[in-house]
Amino acid sequence: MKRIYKLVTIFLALGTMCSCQKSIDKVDVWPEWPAPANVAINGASLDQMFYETYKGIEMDLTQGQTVTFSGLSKLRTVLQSHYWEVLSETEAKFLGFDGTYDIIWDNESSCLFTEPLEKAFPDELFLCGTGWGHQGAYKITTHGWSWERPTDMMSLRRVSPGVFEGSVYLASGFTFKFCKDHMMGMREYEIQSVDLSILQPEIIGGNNYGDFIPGSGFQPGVFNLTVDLNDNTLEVGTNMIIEPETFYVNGEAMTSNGSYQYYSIRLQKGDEVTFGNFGGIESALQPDFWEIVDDMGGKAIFKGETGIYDIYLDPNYMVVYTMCTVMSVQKGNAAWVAGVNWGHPGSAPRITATGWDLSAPNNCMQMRKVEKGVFEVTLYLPADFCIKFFKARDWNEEASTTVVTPLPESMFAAGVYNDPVTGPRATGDLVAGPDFKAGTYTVRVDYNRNIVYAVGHYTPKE
Amino acid sequence: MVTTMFSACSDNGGDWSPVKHPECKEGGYLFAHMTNENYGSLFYSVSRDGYHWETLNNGNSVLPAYAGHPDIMKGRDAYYMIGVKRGTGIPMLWRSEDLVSWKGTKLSKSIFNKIKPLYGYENEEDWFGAPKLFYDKDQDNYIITWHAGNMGNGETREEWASKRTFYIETKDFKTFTAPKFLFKFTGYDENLATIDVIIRKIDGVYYAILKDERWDDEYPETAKTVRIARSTGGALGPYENPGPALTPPLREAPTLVMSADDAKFWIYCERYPYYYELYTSNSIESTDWAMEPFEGPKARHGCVVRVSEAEYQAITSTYKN
Repeated sequence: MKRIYKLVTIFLALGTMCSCQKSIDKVDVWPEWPAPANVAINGASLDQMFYETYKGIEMDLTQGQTVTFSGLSKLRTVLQSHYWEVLSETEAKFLGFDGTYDIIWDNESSCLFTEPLEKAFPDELFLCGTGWGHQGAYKITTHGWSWERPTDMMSLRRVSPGVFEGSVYLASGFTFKFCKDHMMGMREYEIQSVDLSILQPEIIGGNNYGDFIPGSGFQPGVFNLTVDLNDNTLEVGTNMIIEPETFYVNGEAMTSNGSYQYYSIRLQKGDEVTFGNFGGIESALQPDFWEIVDDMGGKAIFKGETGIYDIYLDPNYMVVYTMCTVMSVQKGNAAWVAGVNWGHPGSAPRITATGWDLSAPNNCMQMRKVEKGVFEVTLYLPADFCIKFFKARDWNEEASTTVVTPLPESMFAAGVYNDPVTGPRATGDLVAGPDFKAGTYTVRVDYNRNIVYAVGHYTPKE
Repeated sequence: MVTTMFSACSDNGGDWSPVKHPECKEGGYLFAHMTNENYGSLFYSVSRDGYHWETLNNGNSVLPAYAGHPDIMKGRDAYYMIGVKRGTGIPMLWRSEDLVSWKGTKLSKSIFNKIKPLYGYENEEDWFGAPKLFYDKDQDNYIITWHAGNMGNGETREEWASKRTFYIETKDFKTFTAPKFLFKFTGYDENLATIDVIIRKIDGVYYAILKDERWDDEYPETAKTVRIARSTGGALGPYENPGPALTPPLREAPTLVMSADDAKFWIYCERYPYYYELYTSNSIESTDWAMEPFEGPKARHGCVVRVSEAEYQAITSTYKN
């Protein structure tokens, strides 16, 4: 059954994603994250593989069954509370309906994700999106709109016909939809914000895309969601809230837009800017634009082109994005990068980008001009990164690997999509070459020579 | 025997317990800890004799904004402890003059994360390796110790075996030295994985009380036990190889105080993930530590500190049940 879902979702992916990458052998490229050495569930070790790289166990469970966990020291933060009632340090009662379930370990969050083997409505309902996480992790655990990992689609527990419950951590700027199957992109399989009456609209609202998004009174925390498809309502119960904070730029308070703390400022090279209440700024600011003067004191010197910049603080990761959206290669002062599976250098090795998107600050970065026609950006790139370059913050201004040649070939490659009908074609993506290692890189695009490379890893010929 | 770090207590214990233990003549003990149900939150328990404890505030957290592995240290001018801003990977410094009102200030995670470019080690940024504080009065210096491993996150055998203890120094919590390894052990302990290290000075000698985080199939005599290393060269070492295990396996998060009558050294440590135990000895350098039964609070990872009568009264009156 799982194989069928995978085929369906892969097929959908090809049809819906705007960019695909060169075939990557994920088993080789991705780390195989082992489960904790001594974890066992009802005496059985987590030795089955799920989603290609995750370890776990498939179990037949009955409602009310007491299950024994060993090798875990924090059961309440490891198990999803809507599926499990923790009884003791080593025991938990299963709350779901009788059936076969996959219990999958995520080494990144040190949490177990429970999901039904048969991922299908009306027995199951899923949550997928950005900026949410396992309630025990108390941080973002999803990699975004995806179904490639157990962390990307959360199974809600059916409590009665048409009624589903789930406990989830929601961060600033979250977006999600409910999905009737382990797939997305098809309207009939989605339950959007327009489909439900939200009983606490001050906490969760909706947008024009049908996503559930933060309401005007939202603060990050853990929430209990109840979806009732009999009367088409969403009830939001508050479990734990993080108190809001104020951050400052040059002494003035930044403004929250629900997702980011925001400040607009005119900057020119050499300006000293003070960031207040950030703690340290060395890991918050992009090194491309800022030279740190006083990490704890929050002082930094701007080193970009002159302009009116938007400074966005992503409070989920405490990192700052600096951008002047009207700058472009045509104006001689900026290029842009966007893609999937990359991160702000200050939060490496976390993936902070959530998808192909040139509008959200965390999904695209301005590349600083280093000389005429040459632009740089520093970002974290995991083994499965996939990015494109643009001459302006506009999809129509793509000038990526169909224009610039990745060098050296061992490190970077141009993306190719093998269309089963028309054959291979270049996608314009920059992806990993055979010897690429995950890490933080300063990537330089040289539109004079039409090459792209990582600074310190390749020297162009004169 | 014991110098400035412990104040005197006398034997005027109450008789409400089947076993009579001496109480502190003045003040008592504060146990700042988390619980298994609320991992990373701060709870207060108090005791006059160190054997009988009462959790305050009706069992609720005393500082909801705090998240971390509490380790309270009396510094130059106030009490300090380190935590994290929950969910963000930002370390926090907490300061209090009375142990009741705490003020949090963010620290730069780059202070800790320099271990990556320097040594190739990674911090797990959920808790930053349970940082501990020591005030080196001789140098008028604060020392922060914490543990990190090869990967940072991940509860794998290899990751725990790779844990090493780092330290940084600061005089003002604004500027910090670059991280360094605290230990350089040899022989049997050359590859010693250490976590939960606290430093204490007793009679001019510095002691690092640590958990041996190696695995029992390779190091059956000391794996997962609490041990003590000594240094006569200063708080930053060099530390001699630690002594033998002073607890059974599967103990961690040790904290050291003197008994109420100043006659014994007490090490409370967590029998994870269950409860704290008490081990006592007449000498910090003894290899013979006896476990004594005590009515501990429902606690996980924390620290026990001696507090004055005024502080004891302020805490208990603020957080009375």
